[in-house]
Amino acid sequence: MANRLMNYTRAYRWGSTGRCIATIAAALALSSVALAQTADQPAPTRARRPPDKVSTEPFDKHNLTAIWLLRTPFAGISNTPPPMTAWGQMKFDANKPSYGPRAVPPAEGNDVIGNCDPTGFPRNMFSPSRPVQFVQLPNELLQVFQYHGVWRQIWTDGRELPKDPDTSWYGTSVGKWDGDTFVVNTVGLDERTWLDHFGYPHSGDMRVEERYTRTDHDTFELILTVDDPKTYTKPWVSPKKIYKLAAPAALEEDYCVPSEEQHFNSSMRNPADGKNSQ
Amino acid sequence: MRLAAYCAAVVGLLALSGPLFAHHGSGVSYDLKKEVTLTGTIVEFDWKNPHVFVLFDVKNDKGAVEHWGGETHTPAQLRAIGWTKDELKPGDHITITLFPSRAGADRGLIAKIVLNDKVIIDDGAIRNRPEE
Repeated sequence: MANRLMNYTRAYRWGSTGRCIATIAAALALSSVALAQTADQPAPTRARRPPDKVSTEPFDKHNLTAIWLLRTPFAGISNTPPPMTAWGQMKFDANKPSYGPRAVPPAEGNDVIGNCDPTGFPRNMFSPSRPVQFVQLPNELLQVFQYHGVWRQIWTDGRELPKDPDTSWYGTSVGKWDGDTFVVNTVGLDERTWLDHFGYPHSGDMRVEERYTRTDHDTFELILTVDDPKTYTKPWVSPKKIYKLAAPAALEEDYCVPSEEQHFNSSMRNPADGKNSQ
Repeated sequence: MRLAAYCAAVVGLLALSGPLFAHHGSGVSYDLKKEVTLTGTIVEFDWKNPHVFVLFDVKNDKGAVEHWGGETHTPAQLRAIGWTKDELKPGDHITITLFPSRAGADRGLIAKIVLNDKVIIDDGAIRNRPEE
């Protein structure tokens, strides 16, 4: 997809013929990016993308350094959450998302990202349009997320997770190799964030395990497990999420700027919902 | 068939093959079963997060000017289909198709824009997206 989009970008500047071909190519490439609402169910046959070619280029199974983009068309853990606890249900009911079956107009919702608050982990892993760069260093795996320009440091120097961590938007993480799978555990996550844009909640006691397996030169698979007994009655395990190389694309400046968000809200979002029309 | 028309037809067919993007709250704020096509002059082209939007003036049947707005994807997503910050500018005369605001406001989600006889975006596929 990255290559197709690169080609598109070049062709776009070749005049009308190139622009036409490129528009078609881009439409093909992007028609596969059916997000959120399709949940984990397969897309309709006519919308299904052809299977990705398996790369035969050599690769190091223990090296995740690259720029990656999520290709799995579902923006959350999965569409089969475990039963919630009473506390979890109360939190869930208080969250008013603008996606999914409980969607309300954004002007009436309370999705924290609508104010440019941090997306938080693990929700920040689920953007299908904004890439993440992994940089594998001797003592850590650094993840740099294009959106908001934020990072996670996953310590690989053998340290233990803190027993009583302060909470933060992206938590505290340690990782180690288990065979060919890089296993990350994260604690200390601020419970103001949602797990996804459907408004699933979590507590500050949540622990998240991520299992990264590089399956070919262009691909890694990620399985997440949310373990949060305060909110869910059993661990919530994701299906495999597929990420593909976004290279040679580079990360772009892509901030959520409160003043710009406010301008959008006052110019578009609120008037569209019949609120505070200009 | 002129190239632009051919291109628009092919892109339109592709658009029918499936949704392009989800969009924050679009299905609840906008009626994806209705479309309204307007001709107007751009007053503001806002190339920023969270969503790119245009504000444009439309002269109605009685000669009065109505102030409309349409939103679309993020700059990052639009860059991927070749848009730049200069794609549109104040003063541009456009024909624009919107999925209109459910609240009846002069706002909509952009389905299509034609500028100088060229289709610069066709998001008709949104109409086929499952309900949010």
